[in-house]
Amino acid sequence: MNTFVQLFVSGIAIGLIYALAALGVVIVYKATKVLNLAPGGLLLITAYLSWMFLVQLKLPVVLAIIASIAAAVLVGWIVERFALRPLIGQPILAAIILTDMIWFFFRGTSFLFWGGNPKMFPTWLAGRPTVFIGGIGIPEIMIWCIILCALTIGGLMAYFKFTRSGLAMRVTAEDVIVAENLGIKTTRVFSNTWIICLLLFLVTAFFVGAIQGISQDLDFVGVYGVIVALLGGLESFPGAIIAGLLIGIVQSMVGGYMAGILGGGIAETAPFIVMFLVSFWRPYGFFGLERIERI
Amino acid sequence: MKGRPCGVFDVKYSQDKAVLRTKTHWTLFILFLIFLFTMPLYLNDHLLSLGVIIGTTVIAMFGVQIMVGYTMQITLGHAGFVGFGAYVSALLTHHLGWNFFFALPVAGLGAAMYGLLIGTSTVRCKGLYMVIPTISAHFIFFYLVNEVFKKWTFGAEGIECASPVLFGFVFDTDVSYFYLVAFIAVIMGIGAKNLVRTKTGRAFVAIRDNDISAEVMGIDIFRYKLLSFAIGNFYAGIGGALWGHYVTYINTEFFPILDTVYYVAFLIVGGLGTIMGAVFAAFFWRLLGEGVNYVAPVLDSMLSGTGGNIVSSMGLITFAVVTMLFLIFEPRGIAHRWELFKHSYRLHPFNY
Repeated sequence: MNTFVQLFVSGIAIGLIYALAALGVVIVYKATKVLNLAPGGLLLITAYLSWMFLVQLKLPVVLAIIASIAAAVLVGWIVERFALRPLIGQPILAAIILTDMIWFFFRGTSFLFWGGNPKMFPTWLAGRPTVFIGGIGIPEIMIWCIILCALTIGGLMAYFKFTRSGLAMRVTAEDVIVAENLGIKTTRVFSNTWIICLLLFLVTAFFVGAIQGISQDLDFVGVYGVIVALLGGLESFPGAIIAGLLIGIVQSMVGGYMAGILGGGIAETAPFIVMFLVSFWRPYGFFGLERIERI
Repeated sequence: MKGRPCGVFDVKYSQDKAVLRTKTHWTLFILFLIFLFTMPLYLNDHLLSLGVIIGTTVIAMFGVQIMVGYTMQITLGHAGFVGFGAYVSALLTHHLGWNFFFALPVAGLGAAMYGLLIGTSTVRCKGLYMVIPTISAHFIFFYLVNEVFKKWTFGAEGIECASPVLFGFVFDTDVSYFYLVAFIAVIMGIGAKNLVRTKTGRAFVAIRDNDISAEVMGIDIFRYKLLSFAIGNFYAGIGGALWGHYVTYINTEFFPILDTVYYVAFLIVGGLGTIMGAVFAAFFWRLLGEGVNYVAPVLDSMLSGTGGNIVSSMGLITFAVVTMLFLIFEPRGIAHRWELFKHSYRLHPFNY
């Protein structure tokens, strides 16, 4: 029973990380209708940049965090302005492949500057002790992860509900032409979208980096982020969270109970098998809009 | 862009439908074939081996073109499909002692069966959501090879693929393998070019353009989507098997997730929806890779501070930047430029 609860909690933590990465994909899709395949690379670059500020340059903690946020905002702005904006109006497949190339670009640059050796965040972040609640050992970072993920998601919801720019984003997500007629500057909305997306990836990168260290494997989380977003439905925030939790728990449970029988690789493969089967049942993801198409 | 040369008139339907319409076409085509099959006279072994790699990529790329360019079934699992073909052929030749030339079509069919299995999800899935089943296919292939059939595939250790033997002649040199690959690539290319002109190909295009109207017009879209998966993966399997028996040793490391993206990305660089586009795509991809392999060590010795990082990362960065520039400045690909060139050549002395 203890094992079960432990696996469950770690599954939730992994799942929330996937959900955060997936939210970055969903938010971009909602506003620009581009499937964002870049989270892998963007996670890498934000993780390495914050590592650089925290460890390499030994900045004070607050300053380092502000610097990483500023860097993430800058990366988001650059990506939107110089890569994706020229492709507005072009075939959607070209834009999707472009986001993919952003992934590879940042994967390459992060390897170029920081090499292949895994990096660790400082001990106050990565070296958190394990706390025991009723005999179940849970790494403290996972508790922080759950709290902060919940806060981030709540903040995002509040942003959409209560701020003007959040409202503008919702209008743009609904219909770009209507938004432009209402006097909303959609290019600014697009770039805001990418900046928020990068901030989400920054939070994700912090936790993944704290849990498993920063290495080139980080972009695997990005792949799961894309898949989770698709599974939850590309237009749906709650869908991304539910799908992320589902995938996290499946991965953790299968890895915990089945690895002995089905081999070690099953933990990575099980989410994909689940998703393949789900694609028959709900082809638009759990909460995706089922388009009613006309000719 | 269907400009026809001045003074060429069709008097029979067969002329109207012909791929090679004029004597010039035939001459150029035959000259091309002669050039292709005398390539070993001009190229050294290194370039020939590059040619072999390009040839296998071209074959796999035809498959991607049929799936993505003609039917718009976005596939992010093509490296897995290519690997599936390579493994089928490797297992057949290694464990059952089959001749490569029997194993090759079986490898194609095996990959096609796998594609059919994955393609069943098209019954409801479509558009961007096709990413889920196809990318799952890639990872399920990894799992099958590394865990489920570990006894036969030797997992991560990899499996040997013997060089092909035909009537006692062993294709183990670059020259002989080049002839083999060039021959099969030309056959497969002619097959692909003609496939997309048939009823099946037109059904594919109808599904690409609008699958609902295609269905209304009486095209069984599920059947044709499955067919597209099967044919595309048949090509992938053939390309994979040829590649595997050229490098004579494969494991799953050779089919990374990055390649699945490159297949689609370079297809767009080459040009969607034309068979020439697939050829351009394969050439562009492999030649760019070769250029990077050539330049990266030089750059590394010039900038000695990077400690070898540049060698491993330059490929990714160059591929990413070049593809991005192509997408931004020529989203219709090299094939579009090729059409423009042909058009202006035909009208040469005049502007239009």
